[in-house]
Amino acid sequence: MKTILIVEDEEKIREELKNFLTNNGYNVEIITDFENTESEILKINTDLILLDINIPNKNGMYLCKEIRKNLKTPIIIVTSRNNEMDELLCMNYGADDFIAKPYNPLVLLAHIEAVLKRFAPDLDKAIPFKNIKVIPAKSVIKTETEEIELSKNELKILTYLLDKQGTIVSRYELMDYLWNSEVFIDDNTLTVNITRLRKKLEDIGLENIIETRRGQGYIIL
Amino acid sequence: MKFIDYLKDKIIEIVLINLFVIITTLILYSLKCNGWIIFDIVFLIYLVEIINFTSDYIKRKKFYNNTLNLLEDLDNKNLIHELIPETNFIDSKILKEILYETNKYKIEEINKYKNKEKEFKEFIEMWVHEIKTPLSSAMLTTYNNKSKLSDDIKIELDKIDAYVQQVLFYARSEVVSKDYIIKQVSLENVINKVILKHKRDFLLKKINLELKDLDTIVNTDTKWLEYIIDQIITNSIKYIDENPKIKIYIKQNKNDVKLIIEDNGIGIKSNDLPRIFDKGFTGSNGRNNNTSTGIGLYLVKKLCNKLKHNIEIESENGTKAIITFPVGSLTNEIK
Repeated sequence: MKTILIVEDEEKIREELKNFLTNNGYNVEIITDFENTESEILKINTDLILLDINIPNKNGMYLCKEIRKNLKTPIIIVTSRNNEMDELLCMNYGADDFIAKPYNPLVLLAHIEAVLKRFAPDLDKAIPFKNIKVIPAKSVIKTETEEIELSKNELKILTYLLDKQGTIVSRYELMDYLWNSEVFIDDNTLTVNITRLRKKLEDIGLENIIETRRGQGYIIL
Repeated sequence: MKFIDYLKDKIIEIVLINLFVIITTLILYSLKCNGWIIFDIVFLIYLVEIINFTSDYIKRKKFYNNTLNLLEDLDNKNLIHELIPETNFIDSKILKEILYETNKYKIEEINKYKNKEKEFKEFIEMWVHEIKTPLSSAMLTTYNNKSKLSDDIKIELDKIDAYVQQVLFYARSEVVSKDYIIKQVSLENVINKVILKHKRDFLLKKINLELKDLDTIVNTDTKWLEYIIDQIITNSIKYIDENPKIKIYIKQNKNDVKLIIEDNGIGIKSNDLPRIFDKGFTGSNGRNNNTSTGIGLYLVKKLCNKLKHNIEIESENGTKAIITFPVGSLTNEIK
């Protein structure tokens, strides 16, 4: 499980953010002492730092620069100042990403995932299922004898359904997920993609893997 | 400056000279001077005066003509007192002095207002910045406590966010100072970001979205362009019709890139069209939808002008917004 450090002085946001990230499968660390923010941060071993730029007693950008001198941990800067200059400065001071308040929490999640992936790409990560393996990094399904390529959409749909294996995923939920990863498909395209995916699975002998539940959605059992 | 006007100006002097000549003639005549001598003296006096007036006229005419020409060529007319040609006659020096003093006073006045405006803008920026913290916090709370109620609140929070954003951009657009950075920006990234923001509407209202060849780099400010496109898409979504469809594509020309956002919504009435960018104008569509403030498109136009993008909106079976990014000129400016 990845650890995320939240550096945020507003208590309410800190707590909500902590809950939110914990619910989404991250281990969350926080700091509450902003007298020596920098040394507090350096004490904690973490995979990613979520840094609010407006913390007391310190210029956030300067802090970012200082952390960067000592650590290679990816930093995402959170700010309510939404202008180009700030974004540019943050990047110059060594931040890896930048997100403006008030953010859609799901978008924040997507940013976190993207940055973590960039830093530690799971090249060998494979999702096993029955007698096949899905390898997201290569966008293929691997059987014992062959490799079948998947399109970007097909891969996303398959991995999402596998992730939720055993529960019904509604079409809306699936589209919502795809849109979050900047695949803006509509109802018809989703149907087409599901059909193609089923065809590919059939070709390797996995028939009726993706079941349709009328009026509810899809499920992989 | 006409010679006749000049003479009118000098009427007292001319009268006095004539008077002087008449008196002189009378005195000389009473002293029984020779007629020719009197004539010579009178002639000489006139000759000197004519030379005197003419040269003075030419000098002044040259001075004022030069000054007027300069004024015409000058972009910043305030600088005229710096450029008035050096002369040795007293009027020009006084004129220069007067212009200098009045300009100084005026510039001080203007600066006073500029500062006030700046302070106001800074206050707004700070306020927007502050309000975003409770807004973020509320948004996170709704995500952590999913229910029908929190979903409803989420929608309202999004609206508050849009209004807050509007205040910020309004403040920014009204101020003379330049707080944007023009750099190379991928149109695709900007558009994806805006669309993602409206995901909910697209999915729930089943709006068909067609994106084509958006992989283009333009010179713009990301945040401002995001706001501009967001306004256009917000409008498209607001005024959808049956089988809603939004199409976004690019036309690449030699000297510019055109971004076209097209919808098949209810469109804009042709007599409303010329005024859609006016401040406070809501049109008949807006009046039927009482959340319109008539600020959105006004800001869009203003921001576009500042960024040197051109924006046009056409309406014929739906609405078509065309933003033009010039390719050549701005690139040169950056270099």
